[in-house]
Amino acid sequence: MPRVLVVDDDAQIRRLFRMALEGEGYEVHEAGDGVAALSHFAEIRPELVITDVMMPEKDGLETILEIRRAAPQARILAVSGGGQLNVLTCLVMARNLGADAVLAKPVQVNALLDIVRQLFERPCGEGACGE
Amino acid sequence: MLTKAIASLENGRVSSRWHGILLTCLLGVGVTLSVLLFVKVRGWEKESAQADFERLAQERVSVLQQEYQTQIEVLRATSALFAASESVTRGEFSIFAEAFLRVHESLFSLQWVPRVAGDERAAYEESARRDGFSDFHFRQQDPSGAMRPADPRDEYCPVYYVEPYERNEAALGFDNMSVQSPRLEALYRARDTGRPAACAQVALVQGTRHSRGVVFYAPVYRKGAPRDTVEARRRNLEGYAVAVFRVEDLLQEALRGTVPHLIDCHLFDVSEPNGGQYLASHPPRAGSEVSAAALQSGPHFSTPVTVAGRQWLIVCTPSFGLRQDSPMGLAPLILVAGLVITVLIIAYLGQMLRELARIRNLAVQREHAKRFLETEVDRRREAEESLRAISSRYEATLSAVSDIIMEVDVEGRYTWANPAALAFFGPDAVGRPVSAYLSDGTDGCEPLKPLFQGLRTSLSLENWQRDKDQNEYLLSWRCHPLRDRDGQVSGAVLSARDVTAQRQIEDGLRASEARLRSSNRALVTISECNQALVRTSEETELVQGICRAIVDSGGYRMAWVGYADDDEHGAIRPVAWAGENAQDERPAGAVWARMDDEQSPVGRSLREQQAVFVRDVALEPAYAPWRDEEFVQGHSCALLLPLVTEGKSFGVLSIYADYASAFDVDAVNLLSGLANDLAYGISALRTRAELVRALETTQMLARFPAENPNVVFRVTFDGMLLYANSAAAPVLAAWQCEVGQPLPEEWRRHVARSLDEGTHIEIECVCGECIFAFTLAPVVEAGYVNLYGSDITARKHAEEAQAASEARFRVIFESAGMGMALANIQGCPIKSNPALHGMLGYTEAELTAMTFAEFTHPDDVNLDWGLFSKLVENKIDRYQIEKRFIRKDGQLVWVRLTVSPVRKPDGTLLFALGMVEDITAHKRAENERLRLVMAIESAAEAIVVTDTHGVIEYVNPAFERVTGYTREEVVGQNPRILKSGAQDDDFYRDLWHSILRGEVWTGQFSNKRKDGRIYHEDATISPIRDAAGNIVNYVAVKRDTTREVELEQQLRRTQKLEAIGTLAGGIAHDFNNILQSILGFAEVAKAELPENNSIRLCLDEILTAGMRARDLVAHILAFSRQSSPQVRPMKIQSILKEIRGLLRGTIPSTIEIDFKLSGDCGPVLADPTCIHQIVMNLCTNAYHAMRESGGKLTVSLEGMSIDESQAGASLEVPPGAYARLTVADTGHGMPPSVLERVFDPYFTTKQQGQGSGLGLSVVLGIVKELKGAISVESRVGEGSRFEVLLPLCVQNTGSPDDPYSSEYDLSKALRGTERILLVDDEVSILRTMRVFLISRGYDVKTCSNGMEALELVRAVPHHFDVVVTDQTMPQLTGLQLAKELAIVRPDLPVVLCTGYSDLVDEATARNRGLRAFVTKPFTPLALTTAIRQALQGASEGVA
Repeated sequence: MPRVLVVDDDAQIRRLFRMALEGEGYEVHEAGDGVAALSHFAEIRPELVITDVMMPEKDGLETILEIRRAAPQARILAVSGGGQLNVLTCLVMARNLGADAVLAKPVQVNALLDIVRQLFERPCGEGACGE
Repeated sequence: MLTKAIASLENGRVSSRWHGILLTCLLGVGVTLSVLLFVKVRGWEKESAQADFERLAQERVSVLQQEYQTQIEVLRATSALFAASESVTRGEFSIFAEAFLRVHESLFSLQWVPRVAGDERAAYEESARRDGFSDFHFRQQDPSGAMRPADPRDEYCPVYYVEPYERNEAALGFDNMSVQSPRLEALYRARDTGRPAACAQVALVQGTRHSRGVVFYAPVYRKGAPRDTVEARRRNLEGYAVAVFRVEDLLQEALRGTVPHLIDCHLFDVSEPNGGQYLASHPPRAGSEVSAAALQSGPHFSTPVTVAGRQWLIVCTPSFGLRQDSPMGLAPLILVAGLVITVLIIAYLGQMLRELARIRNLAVQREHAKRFLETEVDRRREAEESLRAISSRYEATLSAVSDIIMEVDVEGRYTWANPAALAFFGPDAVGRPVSAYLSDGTDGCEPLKPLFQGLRTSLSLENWQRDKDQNEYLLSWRCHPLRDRDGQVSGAVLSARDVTAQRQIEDGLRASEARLRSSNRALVTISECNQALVRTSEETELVQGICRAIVDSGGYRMAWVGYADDDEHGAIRPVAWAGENAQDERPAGAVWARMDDEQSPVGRSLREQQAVFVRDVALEPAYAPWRDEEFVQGHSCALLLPLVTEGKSFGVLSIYADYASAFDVDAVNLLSGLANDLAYGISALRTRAELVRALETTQMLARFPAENPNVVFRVTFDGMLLYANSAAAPVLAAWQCEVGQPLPEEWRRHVARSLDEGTHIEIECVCGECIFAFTLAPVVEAGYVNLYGSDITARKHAEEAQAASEARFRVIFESAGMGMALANIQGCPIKSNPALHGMLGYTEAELTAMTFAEFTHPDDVNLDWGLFSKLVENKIDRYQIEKRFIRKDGQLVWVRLTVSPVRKPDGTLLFALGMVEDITAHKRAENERLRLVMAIESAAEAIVVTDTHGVIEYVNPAFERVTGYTREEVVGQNPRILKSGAQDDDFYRDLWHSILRGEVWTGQFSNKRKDGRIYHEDATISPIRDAAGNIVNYVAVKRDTTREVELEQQLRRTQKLEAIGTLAGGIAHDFNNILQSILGFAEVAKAELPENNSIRLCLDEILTAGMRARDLVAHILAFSRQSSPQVRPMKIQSILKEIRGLLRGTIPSTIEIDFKLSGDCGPVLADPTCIHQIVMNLCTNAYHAMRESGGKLTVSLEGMSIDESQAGASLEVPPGAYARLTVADTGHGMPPSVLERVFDPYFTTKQQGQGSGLGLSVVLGIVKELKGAISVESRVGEGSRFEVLLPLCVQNTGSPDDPYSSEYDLSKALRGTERILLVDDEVSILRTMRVFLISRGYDVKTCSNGMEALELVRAVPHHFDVVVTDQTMPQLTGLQLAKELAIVRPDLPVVLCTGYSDLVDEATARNRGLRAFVTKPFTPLALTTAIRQALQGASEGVA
């Protein structure tokens, strides 16, 4: 069963993603910030990390950077609602830092599941979605 | 005091007392200064001399010490010889000593004194005898001074060797131990100390010369024996090397090299306490000794020296030479010079003061002279005035008299003529010669010569002159010489009176007398005739009487008189005759004489007005017809005399005689005179007859005085009024007199006087309101007087008025404030008034000598002269111009000149009156005003002048420019035409309230232009007051601030949007998270529910509302990010790829998304954010159109080119290469009505609250800004298609392949390992940047505010390589932080990040010393480039 690590400071969103992903049969782990995400990642070695970009403590970009350093093969999906930085900026930066795919919040549950499916269909760590 | 003295000098009131005090003061000061200087300089000189002396003395002392050392060395050398040798023979010693003795003259002897034990005495004596001194033995001196062999003792110290032997024979063998002498003490001292010791002085004998000597002992010990203690030294003493010196020689030798005669040196031995013993002096003293104490009492230099255990004292005193050598004192010179200078200064000053007094006297004299001259000038001016008055009176008189008065120069030409003369001789008389008018053609000048030659002071003469009509008159002249200033006769004044008539009478009388004196007969005849002439009062009787007298008294045969009738034939009508045969009948010849008869002598006489003498009547052809007649027979000769009066012959007197001699020359002359007398008599009788007739006529006329309009009186000799005509009524009323009554007393006197004098008297009198001029005509014979009076009131009044007018004019002319001048027709001033003099600076005399052109500005001369010429030509009546005069001092005066003519009756110009008004000040004011007008006219500010009611009187061009109204349109209007309604009534009420109180009002208006546009202005309204302080106008100065207001609003809008953006950015994240939950859970819940569950509808509503909220956030973010776009070449494809990913996550799967991207589409010049906004907005619209029914969203991009025809036809873009971006949907489409307004701002088809209506207008704005075009096609039910054309980038300078990603592509950003301190109050940005920089290899530390960063750097100054800071932060801005950091670590580079509205540009940042600068939002590349730049700058700075 593929393991997915959902990283978001918003517990409700974590629950939403867990519900949607578990419905599709994924094993879902949660982390509330980047620090927790990195320790969880080392522990459970998930196949996919879905991470928010703007987070307290260690934010998504940093998390992506470090996960990519630690595990070049990991699949990473970045999700962002933007903020002080434009959504596009956030997501483009996330992708440049190593995210395999990016999605803008609020994301359609179905679209999320589509992307996750596509990511698992493809070998890890290559290119962005849709190519 | 000095100041006071000088002041009094300047005031010119100096007295000799002050002079004395001043000079005394100066003398005192001069002497004091000189003495002070003298004392000071003398002090210096003394000090200097003392120093010189001490230097010289010191020099001598040191030389002396050196010499002494040298001598000691000689002794040491000697002792060393013995110490070093096993034995020294006498010969060796001699050789050794000789070397020293030769060098040192003061060395008296060198000796070797061995220590000889008592038992060795004999051996030593023997040895010495062997060396050649046969009588050698040890010796000692007995108390008497004689030498004797030494007493036996334990030991001896004999002089064993001595060199030179010659003068020291006595010393050889002398035992030093033998006496208790100073030598013994020195001997023991040398032995015990092991050092050379000197004894006190000893007397030396060399030849005969005694001198003082000193003996030096140097001990010699046994070789190898110990000598460290006194005992050891006593035990092991072998002998002494002894040197004897002459002290004096020592001194002389030592000081040989010094300059003599400067210093005296004296040596004393002061080892004993007895006060010192004299040794020697340099230069040597002859015999006498001196004591040290005596020397030291004067100027001296003394030094004690230790000489081989003895204390010597060297005393130096200045010698006479030194005193001579010292410079001749400068001080006395200075004293003398000072005194001399003082005396010179005082002498000079005294001279100056005297000169000053003299000059002052001269000035006073000059002042007196000046005053005298001024008085003289005044007196002279008065004299000139009176002269002028006299002159004018004289002229008036000359003009008034009826006599001819003329002036003639010595050349005989008339130079001047009075009006009477001109009337007589004609106007051209002046300038013509005197002879021109003389009838006889003689030289008119000749008679005047005695006058001209000064022989006569007056002259009277008469001559015949022709008047202008060529009539001849006899003029009686009185001539007086005219003298010029030098008394030379320059001409003559001639006055003349017509005496023609008088002369004629005189001539007649004179002729009669002449005739009487003629021949007797003729005289008798004449007498008779004269009697007849006198007696007869009737013409016919006279003529008859004459004829009879000629015949009876003259004895002539016949005489007759015929008158020439004025008929056509000129027949001669005999009127009287007498003579033989002529008693009763007419003379026969008389009938045939006719005037026109050529042959008739009578006719000829008449015609030619000459006497005609016919010698023989019988022979005369004219008488031929009558020759046979008795008449002719009886008369042999005839004299025909014409009767001429007033140049006309009216008859003939014929006298016949029977012999020719009856008519001799005298007779003819007498008879001719008789004829003339007769003619005159006839003429006189005729005249008298006419007079009688005229008198009768007059008397007849006088009978009708009642009709005379003038007053006529007849008064008796005693003043009784006989007659008065009707015109006399007012006079009689005034006199209260009637006919038959006597006249008033005064008039009775006049009447009596008139009768007494027998002449006419003219009297003027006032009668009531009228003035009458009476002529009293006496009728002496009758004894009454006629008075003729005429009313001259009007004339008198006119004359008085004229006189008054003239007086007024004079007063006005002299006292007018305006300049006035009279000019002649040449334009020369002939009279000018004081005001004009004041204006021009010229006096009247100066002005009169000039023409107006001479003091007129050259540019104005032509204008003035042209007008003046017209005035002279009577073309204009007067003129007024503004012109410039040149003052005497050269300054220009602007004047208004009004010139009016004074003309003669015939219109010719007599002179011109110029009135001159100084308008210089006016002109200046006018120029000032013109400048002000220019300034106002060209001012950038709109200026409005209104009256006190607010009615516009003036606006300047700037006003026209700003408001669009022309001046003509607004003058007379109220400024309320500009009212826009933006200000309420209270505003205007306040405004009026302020300015009515006279205050200056300032404020802002929003007004309306003529075209209706609103503009803003800053206005200042000020009252204008007149001289009395009343407000007369208001002036408003207004500056158009529309542009500023707009810019301000724009800035405010931008700042607002930025604030919204910041706010939206802040909430967007959280908001999107919330929406994510709402939407996500709703979606999940919906999926869980069966299809027909009614809750699904509720969930759909939730989903719809959630989507709206999401769109709203996106719109707010998009709209608020209107920061300045940063355009650069970029490819659209990469952005579209990103958007495809974004859309996939947000658009429901019911909508198919299709992207057709053509790779060959080139880059465009744009900002990626703008392209993003265009595509996202269009896609959002498409999604909305398909949200309910689903469909397909197609986004395509391709390159294309537009040619001329396409560009002109439908597309609003120029021809060229374009990128065509198409966004098409298959949604509900739009009807044409919507399609028209689809790009209007705030137009939306969505329900209230569902959309902002800004999306497409934002798109249109961006496209326009990028110089592109957008078009839309839509059909209801089929969908819409938006097409955007963006011009392709022509120059391919950048790297446009993937600009959007490259910006954020960390791989492009520059790497580095430096330590960076990142400062930003926005935590999210801080983090993002940190991640960037860490990923690039940097070591990053973050701070969320400036204070924290500053503390950190202060704690560890060298921990960071570079600081990157935001500008806008609370507490400490980026610039402030940079400033503080520079204090802590000046070399620490700082990169400043600023936002759009921070108002800090790169230049400012660099001026503040910042190394690098990044504008937000920035890209990783820009940030890392800036950091690299800053670091490089720092390293260069260090390097």
